[in-house]
Amino acid sequence: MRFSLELAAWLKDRARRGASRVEADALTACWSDHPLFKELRTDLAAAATGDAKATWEAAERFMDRLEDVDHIVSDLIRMAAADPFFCPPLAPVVTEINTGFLLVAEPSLTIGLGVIGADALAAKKLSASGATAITFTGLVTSYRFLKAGGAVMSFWEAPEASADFSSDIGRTCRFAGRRRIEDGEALVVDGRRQSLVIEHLTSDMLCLQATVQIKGAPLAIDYDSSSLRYLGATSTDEASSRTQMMVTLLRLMDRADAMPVIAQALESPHFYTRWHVMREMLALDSEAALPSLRRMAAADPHPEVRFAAMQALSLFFEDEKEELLLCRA
Amino acid sequence: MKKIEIARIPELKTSVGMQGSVKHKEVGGPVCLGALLGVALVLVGTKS
Repeated sequence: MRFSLELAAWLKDRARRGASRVEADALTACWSDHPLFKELRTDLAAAATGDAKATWEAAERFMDRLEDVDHIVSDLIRMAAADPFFCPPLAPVVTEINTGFLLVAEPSLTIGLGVIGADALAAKKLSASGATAITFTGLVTSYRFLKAGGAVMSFWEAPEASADFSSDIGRTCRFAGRRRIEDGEALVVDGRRQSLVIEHLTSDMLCLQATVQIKGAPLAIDYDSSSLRYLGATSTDEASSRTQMMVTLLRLMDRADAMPVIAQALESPHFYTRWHVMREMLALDSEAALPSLRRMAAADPHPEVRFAAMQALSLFFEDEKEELLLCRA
Repeated sequence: MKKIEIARIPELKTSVGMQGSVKHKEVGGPVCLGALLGVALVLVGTKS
């Protein structure tokens, strides 16, 4: 109740709200000159575009400077103590069990600092029902367990998902060990082939987590935690997912005039994006899509795309159906 | 201009969700540490 009254008073007071904003802006400016962030920016700029190793090394150097990270957190605590409505100038990272911030959010690299609550984790595990998943993120992640919280973790391995990935080949992941994590321990998990799972915590865990967002596997893969069998896949490529959404939007807007632009997306390296785009083209203007569909049926590098394209030719284009029958004969 | 109803067009046998769509029921039992930040990033996005 008291908090609500304080909040109401703060909301009514334009000057106080403005002051809270100014504090956050001042902190952003101060951090911008901090050697921790300055050197990371220099390292990332020096790393050639798409150089995953150099990006990972820059992240490691950042996370090695724990005293500087301490200063950042001290700044946040000091500001929050002085003004309960101070809003940290960092993106929040909040899930059912994790509360934290993104210290770094660059296209090639993210570094998060978060607390995983032991009680929240226990509650989540107790309330578990139905299928659960072990996720292979497809990306390389470095961890620094500043306070390990008595964590026991299990480690998992699976084959890497490549460009010719198919759900059809009975994929499974396998258990690769279980052990306790110590305070201060560093771990690197190659999410293309490895995953880790928190089995148990005795107290809250404080963890720095750096994820290299480039040169990952094309897919993140989930496996069933009971049977260890393949459950599903999601794209790791933000640009291709956005392309898919934009192409669908253009189809919903009936923008057949955009076909030449849409057709460029057929060059995607991702088989699922190529077929998504083709489906939208067929829905928008099937005659205009036909030449590309023929090429896909004959020469797409992914067998499922070739098969789907042949099915579409057979289903919707009578002349092509006869041609396909002749070819088979 | 001939259009085909999208629902009638074949789909791939291997279904792939868009980035961050998190098709699975996220970790009811175990908790995948790598997935945590990924899920959160979907919510907050990254600088571009």
